[in-house]
Amino acid sequence: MEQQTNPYRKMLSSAISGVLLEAGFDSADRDVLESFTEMLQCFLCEIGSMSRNYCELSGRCEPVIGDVILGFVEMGVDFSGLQQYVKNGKFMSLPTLQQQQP
Amino acid sequence: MDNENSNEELDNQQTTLGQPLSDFLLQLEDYTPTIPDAVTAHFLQSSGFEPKDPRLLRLISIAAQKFISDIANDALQHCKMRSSNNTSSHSTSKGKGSKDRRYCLTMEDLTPALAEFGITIKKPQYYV
Repeated sequence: MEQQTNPYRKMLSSAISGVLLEAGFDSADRDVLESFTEMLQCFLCEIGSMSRNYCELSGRCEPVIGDVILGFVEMGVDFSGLQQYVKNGKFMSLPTLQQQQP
Repeated sequence: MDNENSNEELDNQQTTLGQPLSDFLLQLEDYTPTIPDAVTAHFLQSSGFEPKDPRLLRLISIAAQKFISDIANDALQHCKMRSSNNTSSHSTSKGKGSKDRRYCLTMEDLTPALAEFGITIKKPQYYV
């Protein structure tokens, strides 16, 4: 089993595992989890750069919600179901990290 | 009369289209997404986006989580459909089997689910 070195990616894949469990899956292949991690990382980086670009284009250095919304629109993310999703779901939270023994 | 009603509806729609975002942003403090805030913040910072308002972070986390969740739900439907087809074609006992079935997410289910979202996924030639 290959070691994930980046702790942030590790956390992302744990979060994805939580979401998959909530969705009703009992297990997932490793390549699926890796694909999901890559997609989620790309999603976050992409929305970050989009929002920053919109923010800077309007001559601000402090991002506001409008920039994020425009970023989502540019990425083609449907924003309307978000509130419903938040209301319906009870999100699982990740367990606190244990200190690793050397 | 009808015209007035439709105009009112239009006005309501216009206010509700812009309204929920600000209301929604206020509620976000109460919800903790599965993706930790620090992780989202790290990836956003890697692309140069540093929001001062933690609620923006939450909004992005929840949107990202929904993105994954939608794909997972789609894949689950594919998985269920495929396994029910398999069992109905060559199985005699259902009842218990269908209840105790465990779902494993594989590439076979993920590929058609992602295709519906416009994402094409392919194994590279050298993949082992």
